[in-house]
Amino acid sequence: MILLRNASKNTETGNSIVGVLGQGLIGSSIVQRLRKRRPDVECQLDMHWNSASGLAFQLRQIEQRLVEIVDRSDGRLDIVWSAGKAGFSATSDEVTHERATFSAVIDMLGRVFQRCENLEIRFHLVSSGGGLYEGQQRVDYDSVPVAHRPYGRLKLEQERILANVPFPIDRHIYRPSSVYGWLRGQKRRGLIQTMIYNGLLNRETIINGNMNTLRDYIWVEDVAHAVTNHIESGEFLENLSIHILANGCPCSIFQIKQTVQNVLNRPIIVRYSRSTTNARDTTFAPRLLQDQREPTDMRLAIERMATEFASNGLILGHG
Amino acid sequence: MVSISLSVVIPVYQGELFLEELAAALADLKAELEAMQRPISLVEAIFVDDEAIDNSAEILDALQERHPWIAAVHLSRNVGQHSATVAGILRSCGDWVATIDEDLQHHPQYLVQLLKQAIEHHYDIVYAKPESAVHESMLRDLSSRTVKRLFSLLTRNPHVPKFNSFRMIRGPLARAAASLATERTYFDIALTWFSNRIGELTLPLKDHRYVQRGASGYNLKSLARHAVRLALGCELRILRAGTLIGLATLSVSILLSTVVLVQKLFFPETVNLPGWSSLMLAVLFLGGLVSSLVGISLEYLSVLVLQALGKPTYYVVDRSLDDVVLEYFSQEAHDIAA
Repeated sequence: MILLRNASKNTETGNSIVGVLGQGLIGSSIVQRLRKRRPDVECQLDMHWNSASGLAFQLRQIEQRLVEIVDRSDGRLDIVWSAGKAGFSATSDEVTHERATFSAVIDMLGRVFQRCENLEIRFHLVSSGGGLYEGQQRVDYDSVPVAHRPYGRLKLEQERILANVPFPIDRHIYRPSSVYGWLRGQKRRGLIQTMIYNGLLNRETIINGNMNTLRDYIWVEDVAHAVTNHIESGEFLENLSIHILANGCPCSIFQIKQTVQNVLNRPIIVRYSRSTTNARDTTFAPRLLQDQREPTDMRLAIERMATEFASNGLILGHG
Repeated sequence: MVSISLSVVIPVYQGELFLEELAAALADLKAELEAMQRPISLVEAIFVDDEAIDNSAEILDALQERHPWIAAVHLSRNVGQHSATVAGILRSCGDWVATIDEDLQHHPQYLVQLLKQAIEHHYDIVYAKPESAVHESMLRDLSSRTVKRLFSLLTRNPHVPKFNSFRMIRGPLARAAASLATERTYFDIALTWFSNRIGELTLPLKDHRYVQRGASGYNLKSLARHAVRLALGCELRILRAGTLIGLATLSVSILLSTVVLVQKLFFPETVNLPGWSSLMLAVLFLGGLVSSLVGISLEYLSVLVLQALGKPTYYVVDRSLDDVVLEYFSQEAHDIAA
C-alpha cells in the first residue's frame, strides 16, 4: 500500500489523503497520476499476501498510520483497491485468500472510521468488466453481471462486501474491460503485452481463443484517469456508483496481431490454443463513452508500449 | 434460442434529409425481427459521421440519444466513404455486418433478403446488384460498368464487377479486412483476400439523389483515386504480360542473333545490307532484356505492395452458426409452400 498526502493546503486537492492498495498495472498508473498533485509519499508498504498473521500485523500498522495522519488532514480519505494476486484464470483456492484480505481491509477502515470523528471515506474498487460480463455482447449499464469463473465470482463478492459496508462511505466501483499497458517488471501480462514482448524477442505467442474472438481493450491510463478524476473531484455523496470503463470498440485478436505487426514491423508468430475456454466474445456498447474521456487510440498506445518494452523491459531482462 | 446478430454500418456525409427516415426503417426492421422471433437480431446501427457537411452530426447525436442500439461515431476529418465504412465495421460486433448508404437507396427492408442469399448459398459476402440503371444516366451507368469490367480483366479478379456499397459480410471477415485496410486499400479488394465465396442478389436500387439532382458524391478525381486504390490491391495482369512479352522478345533476339552470326560467318555473300541486322538484333535484345527485367521488378514490387497492405496468408472462419438460420429459412419456405 502507498499512502499519498499533499502537504500544501493551498492547492485544489486540499490536504486529503489517498491510499492505494496494489501496485500492479492499474495501481501504478493511478499512483503516477496522483503524484502529480500529491508528491509526498507518506508511507509505502509491501502487502504480505501469503501470510495471514503478517497481513493482520500490517493492517494494524496501516490503521495506526492512517489515524495519525488523518488528524493532520482535512478529514478526507480516499482508498483505492487495485490489488489482486489472482488472475483471470485463478482457481477457487487462489481467490479465497484474496477475498479474505479484502474483507480485512474493509474491517480496518471501519475501525479507522470509529476512531476518527467526521472522517469522509471514499472507497474506489477496481473490479473487472471482463470478469463480470464474460461472454456478453454490447455490455452497458443495463447488463447483468454473470461470473463464469472464480475470478469473476471474487470480483462480484468484493463488490457485494463493499455495497454492504456498515458505516457511511462513498463507494465507487470501476469495471474496466480488458486493460492493457506497460509496467516495468510486470510478471502477469495480458495478450497485447505478451504479443509485443514475444514479437520483440521473435518468440511464439500462444493465444487462448481464435482469430475472431472479440474483446474490448482499454488503455491503462484511461482507467487511471477515470479513477483519479473521481478522487480529485472531492465530491462525497455517501452512495454507491458503478462506472463501466471500456473502449466501446470491439477488437479481434487478428486486428491486434496486425497492429502489433505493423508497429514492430516484423511478423508476429502466434499459435491458437485448442482450448476454447476463453474464446467467447465480450464487447461493450459504444454509448458508455459518454461517461469517460475519449479512449486512447490502440495503435498509438501499442507504439508507446513497444518503445517502453524495447528501451526498458527487454534490456533489463524482465519486461 | 441461438440467433445470429446483425450490425449495420452507415457512412454519413450529407444525409440530413434521410437520416430520420433511415433510422425509422432500421427500427421497423429491428422490431419486425423481434416480433417474428426470427433467429436474427439487429443489434446495432453504427452511423459514421465522416465530417458531414450538413446538419447530420446533430441528427445522429439525437438519434443515438433516442435509440440505445444506434451509435454515432464522429470522425475527426473527412476520410471518404471507404475509410468511414472501415471505421464503422471496426466498431461492430455482429455475426454479420451490412453496409448501406445514407440516402435510402439501399433500403433496410432488403437486409434479410441479402442475409438469406448469403446463408442459403454459403457465401461470405453478398453484394446487391441493381436490377436496372441506378443513376438513370446512360453515361454514368455505362462508365461505371465499363471501368469495373476493365479492372476485372486487368486484375484477374472476377468479383470486381459485383462491388457495391450495399453489402452483407460475415462479421469476422469484415472486421479482419477492415483491420488491414489503410487509406490506400480498396476495402472490397481486401475482402477478396479473405474469401472467394462472393455472391450477389438483384434488387431494385436507385440513386434518388443523383436522379433528382444529377449530382453524385463522386467526382472524376475521386473516381480516379478509387481506380488507383483498386489497382494497388490487385496483382495486375498487365505486369505478367509485360514480363512475358519481354522474355519472348529476348528469346527471339537470341535466336535471330545465332542465325545472323551463322549467316555472317558461313554465308557472307547473302548479307545485302551490312550492319542492319546486327543493329536490329541489338535493339531487340536490349529491349527484351529491359522489358523483362522491368516486368520482373514490377512483379516483385507488386508482391511487396500486397505484403505492405497486409494480404494474409490464410484466415480461419467459423460458419457453423449459419445452420441455425438456414434451418429457419427452410422451415419458413416450407410453411409458405404449405
